[in-house]
Amino acid sequence: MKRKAAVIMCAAMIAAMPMSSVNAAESGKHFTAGATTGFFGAESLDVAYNWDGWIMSIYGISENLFRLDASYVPQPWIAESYENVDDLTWKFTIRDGVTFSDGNPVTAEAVKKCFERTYANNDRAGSTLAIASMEADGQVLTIVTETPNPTILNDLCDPLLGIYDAEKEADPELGVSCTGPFVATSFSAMTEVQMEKNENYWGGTPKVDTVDLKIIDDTEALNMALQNGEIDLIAQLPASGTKIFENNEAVTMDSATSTRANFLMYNLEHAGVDDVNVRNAIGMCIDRESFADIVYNGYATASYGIYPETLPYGSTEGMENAVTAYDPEGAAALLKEAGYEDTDQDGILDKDGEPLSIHAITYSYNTECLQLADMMQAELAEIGIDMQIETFDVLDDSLTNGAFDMAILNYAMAPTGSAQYMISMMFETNGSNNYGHYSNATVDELSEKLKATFDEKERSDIAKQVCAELLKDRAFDFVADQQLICAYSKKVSGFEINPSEYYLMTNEIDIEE
Amino acid sequence: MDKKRKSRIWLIVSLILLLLLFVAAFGGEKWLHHAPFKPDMRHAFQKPCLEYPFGTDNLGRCVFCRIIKGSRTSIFSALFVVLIVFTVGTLLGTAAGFAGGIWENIIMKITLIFQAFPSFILAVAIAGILGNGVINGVLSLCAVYWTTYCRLARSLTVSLREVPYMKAAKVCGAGKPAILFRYILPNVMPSLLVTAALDVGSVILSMAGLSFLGLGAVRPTAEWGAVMSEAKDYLQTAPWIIVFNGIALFVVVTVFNLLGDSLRDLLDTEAEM
Repeated sequence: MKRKAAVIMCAAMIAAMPMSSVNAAESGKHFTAGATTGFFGAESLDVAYNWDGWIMSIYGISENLFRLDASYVPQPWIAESYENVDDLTWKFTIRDGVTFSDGNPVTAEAVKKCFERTYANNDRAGSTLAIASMEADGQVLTIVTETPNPTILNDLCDPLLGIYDAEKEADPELGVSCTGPFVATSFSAMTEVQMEKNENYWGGTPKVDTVDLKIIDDTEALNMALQNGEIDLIAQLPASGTKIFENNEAVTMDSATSTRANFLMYNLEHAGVDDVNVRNAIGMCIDRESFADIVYNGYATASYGIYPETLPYGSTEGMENAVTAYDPEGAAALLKEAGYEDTDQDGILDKDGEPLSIHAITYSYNTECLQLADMMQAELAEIGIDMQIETFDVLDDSLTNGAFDMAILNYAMAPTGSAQYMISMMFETNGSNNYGHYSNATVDELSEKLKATFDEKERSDIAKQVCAELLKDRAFDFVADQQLICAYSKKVSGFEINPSEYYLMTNEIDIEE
Repeated sequence: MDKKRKSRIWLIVSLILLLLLFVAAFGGEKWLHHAPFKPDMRHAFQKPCLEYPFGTDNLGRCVFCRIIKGSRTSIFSALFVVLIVFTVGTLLGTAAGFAGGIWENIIMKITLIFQAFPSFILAVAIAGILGNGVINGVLSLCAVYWTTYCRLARSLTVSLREVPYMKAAKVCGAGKPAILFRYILPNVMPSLLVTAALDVGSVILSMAGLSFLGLGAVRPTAEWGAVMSEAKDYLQTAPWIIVFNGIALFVVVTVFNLLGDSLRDLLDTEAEM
């Protein structure tokens, strides 16, 4: 039996060999990169499908009207310029000479049709940017929004609003035609994409001829793939890999301050964690500095606020904050004060006969979140809180069904640079990702106000007021803000790390043969 | 005689080793100078030294203390699995062989259904359906391992059905329970015991395999397979975590296999004589 299996495996390997060698032997420069599912995993190559637009932007296949620069400021991309006619009306001039990879020119009409299809196919589009009407005239696209929208340029950077040719039916495998520097030649969902350069790319011919992007979920296998030259770049390197490449002469490691954060979300409808004293006590038991310095090997910053301090609204100065340091003794005292006692001597605190037991959920593939869970479980046990950890490949079901007391999550807090993104999504009473049923009338009010405020300074102030409310309630507890890390071979040039996770492959990337 | 003596010595040696293992697993608590679960981040990734003989892991926990702590889970869950499958399999198998007819047919067809699947794949599937946890891991392995005992017990019982002393017992008026418990069970027991002793090692490995895949032990249990699964991310930077857990697994499995082997040799030589 075993021999038979071995024969079949050998046959499969032999069959696979010519394929890979053909790819490598193709003339011209070949670039290969690897990442985990979280960064490279697309289900299709259709911008409008689910979150695939985000991944296609990373692949360098799709592009938007605007692009975020290193400081999260939207810069013209497919759009050349814009004009804010009145509170609701915006005019965008589409860059001349841009073509889709199928050769069709990108006109205002094409962009309009593209948006129409995306809005029809993806519910998220409407909440990203509420469009009342669009009008196309030559290269000028006029968008009328439903309400005044000060962040429309940021919203247009969301890869969900990537530009593609909607005139043509999407190919079942290779998806839609876009404007980016690369065009897919073969695609297998959640596994691998192979691309070639877009000869007609408007920004200049890409320097590499073919590109292969692979998903490698085993972090150690991913690290080794770069070490042995199987891949040229690791995108979003897991923190455990940083130690390996720090002293590797053949590898460059770049990091950028992203807005990605590790945080806790409490289910306020569940007993125990519905008590703010318990939430504050848990917050005090987290050794954030050690988590950032050791688990992240220094590639993260401890967080005691809501947004990363690098953002204009990230500072927590002058705000009421119950947790400002790692203080397990303080946590124990706080719980005692709040009436929690171990009356039955089982090592777990209780109040009114109910033991303080917490059901925590987190991702099974995110090693940093898992280590945070391990740290918390042991720390909380010391002060008498029982914490059970359950892990999932996909958390959506448990979150939607409220099957958790505490969720340990990892989100990009401001992927478009705007504070509004997370406030609408998670902090508002009716936010789509407000799985913990957090509701604060002041936050809702401030969110409405923020939506209609154009002045940058005023917007930051409102965002800060929201943060102050959130800190008081501690329905969300932020632990650390992580950096985006990329490691790549010294043979690679022209790669520039962007703190937004939207971009990776560009026409500038080059590789020494 | 010489052969018998040799196998006896081996049996004693393996029993002593086993005793040492039990002492470590049970009495090891006393040697734990560090908390096996509480992170001590300032001491993360320490190489093996006097203070931490096997080094520390990613959260600064002593690897040695965690191995000791995890040994109970690994050894006792395996012993528990073997005890269950041994009892259930033997009872069903002897009952089937003794009763014959339709009952034998039904029981043996059920074992065939279970044996139709590759055993570890079946265990993974069952553990996957039941969810995480040591108990569920134990149940899924029980579902896989019981068939061996059932088939073995049944074939041994069938071979005993027609031997002269069985006929004599029947003629002398022995009842069914008496025949089953006084003549059949004692005769099938030695072979089954040897199988059981040999199985402990492979059950420990299967259990570690399930945990390695994330289907067995849950946090914070320091089960060896689960620990190795986490430690593989540090294979290059802190190899001692995975290496020492692997060695622990290797030693325990070897001791149990040694015990099974020497037990078999002893029974074989006795049968020869």
